[in-house]
Amino acid sequence: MNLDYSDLFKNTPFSMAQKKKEIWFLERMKILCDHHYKYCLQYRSLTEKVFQPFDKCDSLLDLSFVPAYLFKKNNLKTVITDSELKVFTSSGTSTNGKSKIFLDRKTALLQSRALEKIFSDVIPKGSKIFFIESPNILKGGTAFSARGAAVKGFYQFTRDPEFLLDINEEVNCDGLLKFIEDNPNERFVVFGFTSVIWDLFINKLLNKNIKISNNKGILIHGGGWKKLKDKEITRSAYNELVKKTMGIKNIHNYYGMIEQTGSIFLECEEGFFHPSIFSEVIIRNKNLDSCEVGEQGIIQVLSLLPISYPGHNLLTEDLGTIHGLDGCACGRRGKYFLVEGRVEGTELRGCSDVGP
Amino acid sequence: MLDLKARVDVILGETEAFSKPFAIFSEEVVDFLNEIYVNIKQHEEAMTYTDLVTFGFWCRKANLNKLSLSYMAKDKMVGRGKVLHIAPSNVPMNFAYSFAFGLLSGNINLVRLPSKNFTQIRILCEIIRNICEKKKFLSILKRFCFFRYEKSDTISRALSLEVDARLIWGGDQTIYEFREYKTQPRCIDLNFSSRVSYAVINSKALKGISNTEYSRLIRNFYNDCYFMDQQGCSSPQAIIWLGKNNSEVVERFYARLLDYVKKNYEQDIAVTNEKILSVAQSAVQSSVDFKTNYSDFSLLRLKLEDFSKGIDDIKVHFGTFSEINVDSLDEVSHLFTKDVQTITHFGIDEPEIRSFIVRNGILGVDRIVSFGRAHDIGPIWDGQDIISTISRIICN
Repeated sequence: MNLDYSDLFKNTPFSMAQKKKEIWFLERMKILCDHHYKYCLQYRSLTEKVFQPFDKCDSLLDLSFVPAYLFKKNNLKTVITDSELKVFTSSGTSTNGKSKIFLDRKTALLQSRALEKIFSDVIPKGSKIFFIESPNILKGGTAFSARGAAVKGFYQFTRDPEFLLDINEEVNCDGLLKFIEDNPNERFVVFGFTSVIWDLFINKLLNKNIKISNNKGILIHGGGWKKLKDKEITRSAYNELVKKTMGIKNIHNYYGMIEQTGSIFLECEEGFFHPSIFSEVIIRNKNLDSCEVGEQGIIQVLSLLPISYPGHNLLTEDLGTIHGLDGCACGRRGKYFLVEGRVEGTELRGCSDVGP
Repeated sequence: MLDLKARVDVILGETEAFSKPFAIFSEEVVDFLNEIYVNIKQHEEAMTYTDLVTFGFWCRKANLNKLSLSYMAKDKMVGRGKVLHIAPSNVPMNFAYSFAFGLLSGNINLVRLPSKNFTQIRILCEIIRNICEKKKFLSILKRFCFFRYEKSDTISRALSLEVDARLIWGGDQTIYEFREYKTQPRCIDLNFSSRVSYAVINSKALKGISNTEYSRLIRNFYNDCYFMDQQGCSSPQAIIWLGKNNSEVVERFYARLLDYVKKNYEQDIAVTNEKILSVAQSAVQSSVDFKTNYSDFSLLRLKLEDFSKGIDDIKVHFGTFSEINVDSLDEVSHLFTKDVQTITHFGIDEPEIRSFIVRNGILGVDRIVSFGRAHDIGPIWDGQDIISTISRIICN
């Protein structure tokens, strides 16, 4: 593995201009693609049968990518030696089964370092953290879920974690109220999954008529809007209710895949997602060509972190639009984009199983 | 007696007082089916659905009378009794043919409709409901029941025990599951398993045809492949090209096809998504080497260098074709496994292909049809005569 990760963490996460990044990122991505090509049989087959050889690729667009769905159908791993692999699974909202991720120590370490680096952009190092989760999230099978992995990631660079749900997933915010009372001017972090926060926390606060006074908290949430979109809840309605019930106005959503834990796309103050130095985004149209700025298409996400499985270049089933390069009013450089839902399934018209 | 009403969601038809089985190709059934044809023809919305129109056309009295001629013993044939039809979830009109075969063979038909309420199905049910209100066709209403139910072992088991024949239109998993249910000793099953199909083109024959002929050929091939997003069992998955040094001819064919596809096929982003999934998954799971090649994503070509191991595990849709180039079919007889259903052919005669099948002791291939006829369904399907099988001959 010739990819030098030491220089990766020297950069600030959101300051490289797009033009420079394209060259910088491509150079590193090619090395990573080559690594997976050498040591992952399935990625090699995919590259040889569907894409062009890497030496003919002069843009990120040309490099062989893996449809995320393949992680549900196959055991995709990139293994040089028999290092210890842990298997993570996705939250499994999809009907097609769960993604299986084979994570080794090195990748896991890179992911938590990247997560720290990215969040250092919006939260002070060593902040007090509250999880909108039950402490059970770190026990048993759920520890290896996307939610468990994210919570563990935050453990690395925050302090004194507390959980705002009890083991029965009921609201327990005494610790939070006390902290705010004792430290009214201290910034702190609340982290949770978008739909969990909505269902199990803020709506419960509303029911119980609990209102937390305005505070210096920063809410970080991710995991997808799908469930909330079904309920037709918009980002602004969500943020409004968070402000009203939790007293937090500093809110950052993030976009990420379990296949690319760590190198998440952080939502800025303007409401756009930003790739960091560890990641890049491409939007493709129905001919699989690159979309213009402003044109909606399928989101492809690239990450420099996955070493033990070919999750470095993924075609998602999400729809999104790039809104510009380097020009976001928040000041971060590079592409910025919005996620706008899932690609609808086609109506399969064939002889398929109906079941008994 | 099974209490249908209590168990399933009845869409149309009788639920308890079914009539007795009757003669095959009975006059009132033929008249009834012809009435469906007439009604579809007069139904503005129905006429916008190609598959519904095709079904209607098949129901013409003239067609049915012609069909009846191939049943020499038809005066001695009657239905077996009650037939359970398990239609595939995603081919809207399949249940209609199955139902028609059931009526023509003199049976009472318990038809499970696809779970999804396709507009074509809704329209056809409306049409049938109206026809059955006429005095002349009141008796038909006692010969069938259309219903839906969520996956249920209990209901499927009860239905299976009740009937004298079952038509199970797949796929394989459904067939396995229904096999587990007990049936009566005399009950007959017809299973239609998951199949694949190929096109065979003699490249030499493409050289000599006129522009008009060529256009017709392309249109027919398009209908075979793109009409149901290449998802039907009868849609060609692979093209076997006969003849060497034919690259110019082959390229011309794809260029003309692409031209037609671009004008007629609506490739939206959902199609693109599923298409790249199916190609990528095939690349990962298949041991066959291929190279993907396209100028426009609506027409994908998978060039196969080595197909000695067979191509069964390449499963592609939405206009994706495995390409094989050989001198003669005998070189690739191993590709014609028992999973192969239909050969659509151009430039090579049907008797020649049939002789190739028999000569090589091939287990697959139940249909050899010209381009454009891949989806024509008839009572002989997957090598079995449905009408003969679900009726009985009273011999002397």
